[in-house]
Amino acid sequence: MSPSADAAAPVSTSAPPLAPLIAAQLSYLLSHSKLPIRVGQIWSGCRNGRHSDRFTLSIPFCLDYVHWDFVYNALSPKVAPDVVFGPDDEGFQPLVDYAEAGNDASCLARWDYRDPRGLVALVHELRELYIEYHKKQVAKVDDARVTFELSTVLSKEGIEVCMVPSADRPDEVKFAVPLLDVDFDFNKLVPGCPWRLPQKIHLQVIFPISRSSSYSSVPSAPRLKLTSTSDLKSLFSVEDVKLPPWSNGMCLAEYLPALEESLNLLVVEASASIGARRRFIEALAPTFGRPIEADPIFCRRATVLSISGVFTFLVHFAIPLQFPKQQPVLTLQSSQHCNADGIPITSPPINDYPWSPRWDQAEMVERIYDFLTDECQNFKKFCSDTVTQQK
Amino acid sequence: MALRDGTTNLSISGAALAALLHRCAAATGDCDGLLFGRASHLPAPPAALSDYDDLAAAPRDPALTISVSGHCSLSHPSSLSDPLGRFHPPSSDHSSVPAPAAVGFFSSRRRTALRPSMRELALAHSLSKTLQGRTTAHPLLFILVSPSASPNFSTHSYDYRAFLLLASRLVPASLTVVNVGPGFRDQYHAFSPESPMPCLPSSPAAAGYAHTIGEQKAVDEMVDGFGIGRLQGLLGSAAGQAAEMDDMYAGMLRKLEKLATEVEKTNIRVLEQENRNLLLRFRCAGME
Repeated sequence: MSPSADAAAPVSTSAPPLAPLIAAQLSYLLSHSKLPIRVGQIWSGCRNGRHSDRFTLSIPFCLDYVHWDFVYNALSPKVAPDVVFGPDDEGFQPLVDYAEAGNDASCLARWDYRDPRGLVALVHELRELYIEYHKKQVAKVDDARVTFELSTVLSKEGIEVCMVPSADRPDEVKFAVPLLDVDFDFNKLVPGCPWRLPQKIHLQVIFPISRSSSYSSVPSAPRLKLTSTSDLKSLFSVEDVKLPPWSNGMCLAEYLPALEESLNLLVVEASASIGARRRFIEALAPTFGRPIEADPIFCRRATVLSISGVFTFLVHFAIPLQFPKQQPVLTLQSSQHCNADGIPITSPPINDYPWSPRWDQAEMVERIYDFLTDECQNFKKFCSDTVTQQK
Repeated sequence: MALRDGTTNLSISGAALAALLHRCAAATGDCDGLLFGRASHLPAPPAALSDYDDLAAAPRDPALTISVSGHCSLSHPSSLSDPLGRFHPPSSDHSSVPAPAAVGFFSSRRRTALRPSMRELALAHSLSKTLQGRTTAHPLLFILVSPSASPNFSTHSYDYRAFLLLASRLVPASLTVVNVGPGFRDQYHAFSPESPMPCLPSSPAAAGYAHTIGEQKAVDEMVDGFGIGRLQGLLGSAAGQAAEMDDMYAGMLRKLEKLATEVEKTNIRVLEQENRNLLLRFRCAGME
């Protein structure tokens, strides 16, 4: 019955429109929340079904998403929304805890149905409580190492933990540790950065829980993985980071400082690489003419128009993050030859031409130009052959 | 995680369930309300009659029986609680307490998962505390209904699930629907007749006994213009005068007829008022 929202499903087109007051709250949430929240299914709970008033939100938690159903009533707009949590979270009872603590500071206590900020306040309040709930659940785990790790790193701001239940293996505990400073702002590194949401790099640490029966003096190493928000990939690739080794008997509090230090250096390097890429694109102009297209922010792509005799073609430059250590990948695209589907013929990516990172930008461009003078003849022949074969 | 058999028996009469589902379907949106009924500790019903004694050797533990007989609802979402799920009676008089016969509450949410929501859970805790000490100690009952209809309204489905508040969690429990028939004979062991008729002195010798206004009122609730003296005479005579009996029965039917007409009229007025309310709500929600 509950719609699953695993995919970042676009708003279902068959659903009737959201009631205006609810739509205002939802759009305020999506435009103002600092979290990458996604909307799953939207549907109606009215008898006549003319207005939608309930939806599933996918809310980020511990490097994953939890799916909660938010239930409004289109025909009783003054009634505050109710929330149905996931099937595994029956122990999460935020309002019961409020009642026991005599706490009525919740945003629900002074719910104003006309205020579009209501939903964003509710989602953030519940997420905070959910994080605390999971910290308490993990603290109940009977495992000396996990208890120790909790006592040392739990105070780190923004950390999230949860249990990973699995049917065929013993349970595991997952830590999502934010790296770099909490207020570290990637947007400041990149002028004109288009990212709306704050970008983060997290270290995911999964501790296996040792069964009390199998006694061993040294617990096995945790599984470590670096993850980043998806937008960050155009500036910095966490897959390229080599994690320092985890030695026996180590704990997170020892491991994190070294990792953060090396990560800081890499991030500074990555932002410096933007400058190198920009200078390379600027150096294209004297030789190839002004690029007809270029990525002005991360400087990862540029396209120039070239002519050899009567043969006109485009050259696409894909500039890697490790530029200038790695050379740009070239793709040639003919402006005069199309394949059977009417799509311009392109060459396979070329990255085996002469290259040295020690050349200055102007020389890099010169060398590429020289290489292409020959290569474009091969490409022209390739295009002609393809077109002839079609006839 | 259903309850073990034999700890708590939940039952609802077919008519009460039909009325509850109709209420949930007829509401324009979601709705909730109180459930009334009876909770009792009863010895387990005797095993099926048998010629063999050895089968009925071990008497079972007394089981807790909760049977739902009716509900009351304002056809409005969240009418029982504030936004934080704290119970408040639906009447304007906040000092009034729910009728002692409340055994729990129900909530109807269209097309939603059959899991208790955040507020329902809080309401269960709060209502359970309010009812504590007022009734036979029993876990609070919660029935969650999720009506849904096919897009062209040709098929309506009603999913429902019962829960009991046990150890601060709402645990799903099985709910028996009781209908009339030999298959439900067990249920009648739990039946105790309760007549609203006043207890009258049956002996004609007490004719001089001045009956109270209260007693006359109780009789008037069932039949108009049938003096208490006549009722006394009727009860007193051993033969039971057929004519008097017929007269009383006809009077009862007339009374019922009158009540039915009144109900019909007031229903129309309620419907009119509900339609007016609906228009106001549309305006309030900016959906004109």
